[in-house]
Order: sequence, then structure tokens, then C-alpha cells
Amino acid sequence: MRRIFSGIKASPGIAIGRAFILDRTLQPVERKTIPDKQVSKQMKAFLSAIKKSMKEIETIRASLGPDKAKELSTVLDTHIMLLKDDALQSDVIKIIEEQKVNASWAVTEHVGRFNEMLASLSGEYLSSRVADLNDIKNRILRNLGPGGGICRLDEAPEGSIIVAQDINPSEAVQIDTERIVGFVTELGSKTSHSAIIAKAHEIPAVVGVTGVLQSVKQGTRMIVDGIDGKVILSPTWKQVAEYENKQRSYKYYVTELLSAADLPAESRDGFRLAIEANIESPADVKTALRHGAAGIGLYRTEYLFISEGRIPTQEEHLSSYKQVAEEIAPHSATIRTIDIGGEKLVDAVEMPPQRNPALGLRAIRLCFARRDIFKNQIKGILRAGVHGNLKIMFPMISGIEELKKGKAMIEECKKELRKAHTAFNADMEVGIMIEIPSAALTADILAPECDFFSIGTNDLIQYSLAIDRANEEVAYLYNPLHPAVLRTIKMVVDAAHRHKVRVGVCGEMAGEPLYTLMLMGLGVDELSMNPVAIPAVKKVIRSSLLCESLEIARKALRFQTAHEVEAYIYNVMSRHYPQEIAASLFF
Amino acid sequence: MREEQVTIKDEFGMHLRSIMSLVEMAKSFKSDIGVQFRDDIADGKSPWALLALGIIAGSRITLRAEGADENEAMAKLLQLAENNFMRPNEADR
Repeated sequence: MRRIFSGIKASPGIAIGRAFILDRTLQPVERKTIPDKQVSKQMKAFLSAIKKSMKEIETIRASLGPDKAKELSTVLDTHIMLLKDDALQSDVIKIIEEQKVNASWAVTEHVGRFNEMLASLSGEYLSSRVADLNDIKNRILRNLGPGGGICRLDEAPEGSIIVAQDINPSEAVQIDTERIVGFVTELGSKTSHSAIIAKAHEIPAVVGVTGVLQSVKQGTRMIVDGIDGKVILSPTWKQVAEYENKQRSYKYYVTELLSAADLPAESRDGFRLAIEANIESPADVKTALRHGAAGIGLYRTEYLFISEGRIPTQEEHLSSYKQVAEEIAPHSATIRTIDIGGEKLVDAVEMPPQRNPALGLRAIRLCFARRDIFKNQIKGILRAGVHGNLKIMFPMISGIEELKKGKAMIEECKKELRKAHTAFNADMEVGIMIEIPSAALTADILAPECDFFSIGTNDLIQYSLAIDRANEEVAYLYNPLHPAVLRTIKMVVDAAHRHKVRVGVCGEMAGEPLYTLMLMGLGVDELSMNPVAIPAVKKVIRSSLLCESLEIARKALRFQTAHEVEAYIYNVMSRHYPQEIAASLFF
Repeated sequence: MREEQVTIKDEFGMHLRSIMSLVEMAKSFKSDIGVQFRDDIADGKSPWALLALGIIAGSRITLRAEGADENEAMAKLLQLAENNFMRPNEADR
């Protein structure tokens, strides 16, 4: 019997409890042809089923406590709205009249059409709305006659973990957090109702767990790991102990770290670091702010190209960047011009196959080859700069010529905007990613030509150590603590500071609390990371002293191998910041 | 008649909740409200009809308002679109 399952993490946290299997098998609906005189009877039955359904939903809504308010009652409002729509009534009645069929069949067919259409659309959110429509359908069917699903969620005993095929929206809003500690569904996605509701209730949940219903029995002891998307049936005592630990760490993360995320990233002796977030779309700004980001250090604009599969227009660039600028104000947002090509192949930009894409036509190189794409983006950024504090950052700069060429293109764009009498920000800061060793080695030449550096450690490590991280054979050689990487960072920082240029780190290293003090000690001014990592990194900084970080950096630079550095860093950091290091499990 | 184009910014496209706020707003006006996507036009006061348009993220749609209060309706609709089709009390969440 399988005991460990993985699925999609839908709501974070760890739940340890007993399975409560939600069983509600619906009778299959049959198509019945009816005689003419039955038609009006079926129509009436349908209309009264609609009325009944609306009343039911109103009752559920009224029974919701104030704490479950907004998020949940919106779901119910949506259902009422859909039931009220004359189009639903007239369409179903039309099916009954024209095909001379029973009302149940007409409802099934009508909703079926929509489901097919929604499921065929791209975008999981839309297709996951199928759950809403099915929920409405089932409710109407139930009210049309005998049979149908009766929700037994209210019978779940204390400490229950709901296991079901899927949880209907109207059921999900009835979840009683006193008794239900987690849930697992076979269907669903990150944006399905079950997931949204679980998050709103802060109940750990894993969805899309195929096959779990076959193995689980009513009352089976189980663990739901909503952090890593795992489900364990009948855990051993050792697993229980391990997960109780994880549960505690997570609680620490939420109560101690997340709740203090807004405090400044200032060491005990008053040294401040700028902590910013990496985002991929304007929608991420909210998450960034919630986790305590004081700015956007890296806005990866590739998403604009990927989501549409085509080249965005200047107006589309403008509207995305404007939104980010306005929402992050008074802080700044650094917009990285597109970094496509390489591993990030995009349908939008057709390119001939390349033998070695990581070393080929990508990022700024591609932009110089396709000036139309590049100029539209730059103009979008310059224009959005009117609405807030935006900065431009070029990726994959390998030397001064490229930087100058990029800047010349910015000037060209400004000239064209001026000519067209379009408003834009004329003195926007321009910076570059330091991710190619040749740029790092010539940092002192590049620094006078730009306003800031941002070290992209992921690519820098890949290019410095000649390691393809995706290649399992050599991935073990990918080590952020390789002395070559540390020396490079140090060298870049020193060169930049000589020219009064600020240096950020925006690769994965920045979001690892284990490395926070080392980077601070190396002189880095800004760290930009995945929003979830911010609270822990900030906590480390707030608990530290500047001299402590300088000492860590100084020692780390002395070792000869990555392993020695790692052992040292791990030792010193886990002694002083054990909970923050443990919390990095969660991001 | 007033007619304006807007882009659906929400990464999940025109989903149930945004449809709901659009319908709520459309119903508050006397004018006929229409939404056109590609070649299909839907009644802005009917959620099922809007759902049937299948509007995905990044789509350009055309909003139409025709009637006594069309100017006011269009102004409000554009504001709603700018707000990602979220009702004002939801926008800050």
C-alpha cells in the first residue's frame, strides 16, 4: 500500500490528524424524452429548484460567522448571481422546450457546455471555475429530485483531515476550523476553491493528490505537509516527531518572523541594508509588501512575453510598469529588461536553434539584434517612470561596449519620446546585472558608467564554475560558496564602492538566511529575493552586529574549498540563528 | 453609444469574481452594457453570457454602453477595468 503521496501545495502549514473521507456520489443523470404536456411541468420544477437553491445559499451565508466574512461570502454571492441570471433560466428552458427533455438533463447539458468551453481555455484559474459551475449544477439537480450529494462535512470529528475527490465551494465555506485541521483533494489546482478557502482559513492543504482515496480509510492517521506538498498515511512515530518539529518551525515563521516583517532591516548597531523583493508580475507587488519588502530589486519582465506568447506592445509594457511603480511607492522598483533566449525560450520571439543557448543570443544581445522589441520596452519603462520611482537594469552585460550601447539606445528612445511630446522620466537610474565573469572582472571600468550593480548569483556561479545546474551529472559542483564566487562578489563590491555605486545581490543567495551576514560583511548594500524569504533574512539582520558580519566575511574569504566555507558558515549561523535557518525550509 | 477598449490585466483572465463585479455595476445603470471579445458580444448584465466569452489574461475587450446614462456608465466601467475588475473594498487586499 502506498503511504507517501505528493501533490500541489495549496495552503502552507503542517497538519497531523485523522482522515475524514468526504463521500458524496451523485446519481448519474439520464436523458428522458417527455411528452408535450410534461414540458411546462418540467419548466416549473426547474424554476422552483432555482429558487430553492438560492434560498439554501442565503441560509449558508447567514450562518457564516463574521470571521469567515469576505473571501468566503464572495463565493456564495457568485453562486447567487449565477442562479439569478435570466440567461441561465432561458437557456435551460429552451433546452427543455426544444428537445422535450427532463429538467435534470437540460441543466446537466447546459452546464456541461460551459464546462467544456472553460476547460478548453488556457489558464488554470478559468478552468478551475468548472468547480463552481458543477457545484451550482449539483445543487439544482439535488433540488430537482431525489438522489444527489448530501454534504456530511459537519459530521467530521475534531482533528479531522478532509480527504475528498474535490471540495465544492459551498462546502468549503462551511469548514469549521475548530474540528478540521487540514485537507487533501485528488483534484484541484493552486487556484481552485479548495486552495483559496484553505488559505483564507490558514488550514494546511495539498491538492491534486492522485490516488490517495484508494489508499486511505476512514480514520487513518495522516500528515498533510502543505509546505512541500506531501501527504503521509499511517506515519511512523519518527515521521510524526519530524513533522511536529516542522510544525513548530513553521509556527515560528508565521508568528515571529512574518508578523515582524515590517520592521526595518537594521542591525543592533544601526547598520541598514535595503531588503527588496524579486517579482514576475505586477500582481506580486502585494505579496512583496506583505512580506516586508522595501522596494522591488528585480522585476523579471519575461512573464509579459511568456503569458501572451507574443511580443507585448509599448502600451502593455507601460501599464504593467505603471502599476508596479504606483503600488510600490514610495519605494523604488528596478525593472530588468528582458532576459530571454538561453534556457528561457519564449514563443513570442522566434529564434534559430542555438547549439549553446546559455552562451548564445540571449538577453541584451537579443535586444540589440531585435531593437524594435527592446525600444518598446525601454520606452514603456521611461514613460511609466512618471508615476513612481523606477530604474532600468540591463541583464547579461559582458563589457563596457554593451553598456554604452544600451545607454545610447535609452537616449535614442528619450529623443523619440520628446519628439512625440510624450511624458517620461528623463533622469532614470540605469544599472546592470553582474552575472558574467568578464563584467565582474571589469567592474571598475563599468562602475563609472552606471548608477548601480546587481549581482545575479545564479548565472554568475554557472558561468564562473562552468556548471550547468540542470545537468544532474555535474550539479553537485554548483556551489555558491566556492572561493571564486566569494572573491568575485568582494571584488565587485570594492570596485563599485570606489566609484560610489551601490551593489545589490538578486540571485538565490540573497534569499538564503544562511548567507545573509556573509553578504552583509562583504559590503553588499541591497538584497533582493523571493518575498517569502524576506522575514527570516530581516530577522537575522536585526539580531546581528555589523562587526559580526565583517568577521564572518573575513573568515569565509580565507578558506580554500567550498566545503570548508560551508562548514564554517553553517556552524556559526546555526549556532546564533537556528530558527531562521530552519525557517528557510519554507521558501 | 460609447465604446472603449481595455486589456484584461488579471493574470487569471476574466474570472467569476471579476464577472460578478462587472455585472453588479452594469445592472446599476439603465443603459445597455455590452462586452465584445473577438467576434462575440455578450450582455454585460448576464454572468453566463460573459462566462461564455472565455476571456483569458491579456485579452483586449471592447466595452459598450448605450442609453440615457451611457457616459457615466462608461466612466465607471473604465474605472472598474483599471482596478482589475475588483470592487473598491477588494482592491487593497
